[in-house]
Amino acid sequence: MKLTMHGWWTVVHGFVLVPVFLLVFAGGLLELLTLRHKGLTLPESSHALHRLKTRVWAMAAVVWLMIITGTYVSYPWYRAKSPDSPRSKLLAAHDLAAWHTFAMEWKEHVAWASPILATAVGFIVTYYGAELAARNDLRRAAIVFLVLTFAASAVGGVLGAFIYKVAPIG
Amino acid sequence: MTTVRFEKTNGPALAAIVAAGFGVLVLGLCTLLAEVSTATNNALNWWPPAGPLVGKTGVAVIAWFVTWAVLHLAWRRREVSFRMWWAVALGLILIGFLLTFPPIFQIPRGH
Repeated sequence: MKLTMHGWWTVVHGFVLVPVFLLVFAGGLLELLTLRHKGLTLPESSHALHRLKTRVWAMAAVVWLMIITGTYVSYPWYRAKSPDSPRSKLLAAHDLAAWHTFAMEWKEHVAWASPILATAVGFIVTYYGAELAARNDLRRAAIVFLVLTFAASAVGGVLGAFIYKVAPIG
Repeated sequence: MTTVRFEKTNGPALAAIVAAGFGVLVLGLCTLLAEVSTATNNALNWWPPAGPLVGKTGVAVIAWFVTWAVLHLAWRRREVSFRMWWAVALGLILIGFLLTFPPIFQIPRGH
């Protein structure tokens, strides 16, 4: 199988960044969930905080990279006016049109909520640091934002994979 | 009953949370407005290869940053009502998410 430049970018956008995102999301969520219950000594707690900050900011960075490569690199190829672009092919076939009018249109918009929410989590974790372990309300809010980041990214990732399967970027 | 006193106020966290909610709401509103009005759709077409998506998301990101800066300055030393502002933020996010859902924002198209 030979991939064009468009194909490679799509692979980076969807198949490299997504697994990295899943890893750092799971790590960040676990650190936030267990922050309160660790009962750690000061040096251990500082290590745990460092890990939490690294994972949360790594997640925010990956989400920004996913959204920027998606919007500015893959999407222009997807929606090119030529008849062989994925968008043109989907809209030309009546039974496939919903892959654009529903799946792509949902994915391209909702996924942009992810970097906004993830950046807010990064800020909260960095600003409050160790205090977050005792601040249940803010820690829970950060966890909810993290889960919403995941949900918005999951819509983008899952629909993107299906759309690529139905009409690959050549 | 003992009251826990924290070194930092909750204002900066809620500024980030409410601003993020507002950013998501603006994203949803821009998505809907681009459907309702051709003039808005054209005005949001900042970079033709990607179409109005760049304008919609650009406006949302600017609104998010500006709101965050303003709220952060206003609340940086204040303890604000977590319950109220958390509920506001979740409401904004919910409306924003709904407005990015095609069966809702495509209503003006007549689908």
